[in-house]
Amino acid sequence: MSTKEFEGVLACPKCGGHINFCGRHWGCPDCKQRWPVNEYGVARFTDRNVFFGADQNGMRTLIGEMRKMSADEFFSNIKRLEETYQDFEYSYCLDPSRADWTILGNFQDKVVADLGCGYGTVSIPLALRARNVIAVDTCEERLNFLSLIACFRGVKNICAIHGDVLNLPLRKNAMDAMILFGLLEYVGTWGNSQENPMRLQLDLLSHLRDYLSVGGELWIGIENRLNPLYFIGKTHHGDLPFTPLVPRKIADIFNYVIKRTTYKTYTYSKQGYKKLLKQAGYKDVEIYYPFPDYKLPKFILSTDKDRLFSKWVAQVGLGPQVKRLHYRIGLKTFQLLDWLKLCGLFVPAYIIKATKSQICFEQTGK
Amino acid sequence: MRELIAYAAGQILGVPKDDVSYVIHSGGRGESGFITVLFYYQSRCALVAKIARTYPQRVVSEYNNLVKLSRLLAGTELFKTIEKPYTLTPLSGYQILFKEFKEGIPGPRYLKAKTRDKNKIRKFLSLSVKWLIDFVTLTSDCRVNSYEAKKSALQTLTGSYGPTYFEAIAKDESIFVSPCHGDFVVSNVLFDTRREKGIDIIDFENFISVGFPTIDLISIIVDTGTTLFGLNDEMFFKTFLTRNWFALAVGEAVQNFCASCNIKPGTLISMLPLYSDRAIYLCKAWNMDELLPFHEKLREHFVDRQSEVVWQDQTTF
Repeated sequence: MSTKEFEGVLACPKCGGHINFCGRHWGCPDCKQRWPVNEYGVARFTDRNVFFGADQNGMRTLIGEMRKMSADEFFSNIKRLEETYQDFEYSYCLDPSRADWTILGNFQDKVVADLGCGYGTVSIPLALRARNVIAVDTCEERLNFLSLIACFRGVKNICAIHGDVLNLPLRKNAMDAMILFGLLEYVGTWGNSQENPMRLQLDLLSHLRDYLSVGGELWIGIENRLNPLYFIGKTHHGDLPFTPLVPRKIADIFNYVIKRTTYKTYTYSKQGYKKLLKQAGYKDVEIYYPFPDYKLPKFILSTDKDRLFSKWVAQVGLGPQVKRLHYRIGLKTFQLLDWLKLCGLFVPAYIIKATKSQICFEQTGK
Repeated sequence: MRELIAYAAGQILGVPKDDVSYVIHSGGRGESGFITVLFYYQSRCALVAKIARTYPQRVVSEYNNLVKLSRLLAGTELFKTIEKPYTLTPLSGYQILFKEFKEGIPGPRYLKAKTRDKNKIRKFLSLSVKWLIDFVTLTSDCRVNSYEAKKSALQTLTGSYGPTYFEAIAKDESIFVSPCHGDFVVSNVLFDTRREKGIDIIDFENFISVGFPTIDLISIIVDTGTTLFGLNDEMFFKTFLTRNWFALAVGEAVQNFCASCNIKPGTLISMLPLYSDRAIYLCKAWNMDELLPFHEKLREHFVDRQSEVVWQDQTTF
């Protein structure tokens, strides 16, 4: 990758000054700090490694095996690798359709930071159009995997950073877009902070705004607090049944009784997200409606008006899975909600675009 | 998306962009797949935009194919059954193909909804094959049956000139090459309920000027069979080996096609393995690993049990 290009957008996470790439590490001339680059080309700005998955050793072995393979060998062995390694799944780690939502924005020739990039399923397809992509994650194994895939695909405009979202090595006002998919809801769980999760989410959003250029876009993918599944007791993020729906105080009590900790993975309704983003100093909040979720959407509606959901289903259908009973019930539920013009309030998840305003008029509530 | 919406609304539909809503649909096939955007205006789908996920050349060739086809079929009834290409334009770093939206029930939905209605299934098959016969007849000026042209078409179709039966196909004087849909499957047939006998054909991304129409025919037969019976041996038996209403419908369609093209059903049966070799080649190229075992098994059947195909001699069927 061209490190010169990245020198223009990366900065010392300590002093905010210019940092240089010196062969095997990034260094800050002002505070004399150094951050090594590992054998896969991942810049290590943190020592803290958080592995998300069931089999860390398996993932390390997979990466070791991939390193000895050519691109052709790897892509023709995906099925075998899926069977061998528990955490490796094409649809989760490689499927480029996970980045299809990026058509909602214009990322051409933009500098984009993908925060919580995981295995790079969004970062790598995005790099085909963006000028540069900075892929940040706290899991080194995922970044090593991302680096190898970028290499297999011949993608050179991507910089993998093992780092902390709260302490980013990015230059202020330099990002054209930042992506925050599946991350905002977890902010309350980071560290041992007893601070209110909403307060922490607001702080993060305000903090990220500083890195965006004026007119820069923040893209968020997150569940809807009023996800219909929550009404039948299903949850995400390891939440206890019904806790996303009930008032936060009651969720705290439920959680404390069972888990000995307060409820921390806050999600919001459509209006809740709009309010949160406005409080954090963003303007022009646009909401899109992905189905069945934001992680691997099959289709995305541009609006919750015009009964678009029903029109789409009538024309295209939902494929063979609609034979299953729970899909049929879900489909009927959404058709009814759409008919009542309530589809947008109860979609499973949202993809949200918010733009950095020139001057932040609103208080963040500090 | 703003740029895309503004273009679709302003340049193509000629309506205010705020009145246009859209749905983004993620297609399958991974890297080699497509994203489709359907634009809605005044409660109706008015336009389709197609974007290649990784290989922009694929929408460029689909656009060129549609332009070529439009010229080929201009002034005929068949012209109304294909998508009109509007434009191909670069926007937001993508090559975007804008084309007409064809309203109709997609084949798989039509067949699934009518699984128990044998007449409807017969109607679907006969209309699809009739479209194919009309297409082959209308493009008869483009037919070639030279050895070299067939050899080259075989190579294009499967990525190599390998199996021994290729030579027999290339040398068979009754087999010809001509323009072909290239992916004539159930999902690319739309049943237009507004027209009494109407079907529309979509997705000409694999259209080839020099291909085997017989492969299009085998393709729609196999795909109708798998849509009805699944990706299993039952499909092979019910479509090719046992005497039942569906095999009879297939037999009739084959007879009609063979009569219009002056080829023997036996010749068509000898080309069954070519269909499988093409399908296996595409499964690998399009990362459709889940379909590979089925097509490999089907190929074995097509090689080993050709003599048992019930509709090769309609008089005894």
